[in-house]
Amino acid sequence: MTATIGVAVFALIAVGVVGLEAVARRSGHPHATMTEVGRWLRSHRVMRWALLISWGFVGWHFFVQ
Amino acid sequence: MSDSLLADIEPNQGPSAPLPAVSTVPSRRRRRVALAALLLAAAGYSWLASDFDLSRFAPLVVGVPMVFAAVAALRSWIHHDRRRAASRSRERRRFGGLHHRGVLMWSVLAALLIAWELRELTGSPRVDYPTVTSLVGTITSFRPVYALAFLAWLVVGYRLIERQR
Repeated sequence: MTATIGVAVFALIAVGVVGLEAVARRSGHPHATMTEVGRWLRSHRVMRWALLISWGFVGWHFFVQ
Repeated sequence: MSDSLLADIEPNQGPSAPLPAVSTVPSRRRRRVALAALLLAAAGYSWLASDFDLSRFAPLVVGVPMVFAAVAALRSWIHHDRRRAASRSRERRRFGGLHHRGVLMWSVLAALLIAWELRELTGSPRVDYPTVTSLVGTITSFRPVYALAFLAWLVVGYRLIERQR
């Protein structure tokens, strides 16, 4: 039961991500797409490196460890 | 070549004659072909990386794109920063001009994910308290899913280092 709740919450968050992206892609909606948020984050020099390091960490964590 | 220069070298045209449009189709097509080739190469590399017999080479397989990305990022971002410094319009807009509600919604989702991940991390046993790592580990035990996940990781890396327009 605990595991089911855990997976359900992660699934809900994933649905939220897909839903928010879909809503943002509808023209005329004020929400931002993931690409737009990513572009904004990458406009800051420190955030750019933070994102790249996070990307490297994710790759190492999932595919090496 | 500027439009005025084009107008100067075109004979028999009055001031109101339309200027010939400079075609960008070949460069766009070339870019699309290059991207398709890059994606195909990345897919092949991902399939190779998903070979579990080669798992002892995993640090090398993951390390190569990481080093490449770091070098490409350094080059791309130095170019980007120079171009930005040279341009005069350096006005700073709040949230980069994005609607604050959009940024807030994404922040809420990210905070939820981090909070739930931390809650599950403190629980034990892992079977009862799954984390993102354990869930991803389970679904990537199938080779095609592993290859797709690896390809997605490569694509995200490419999107991070590509030059901003």
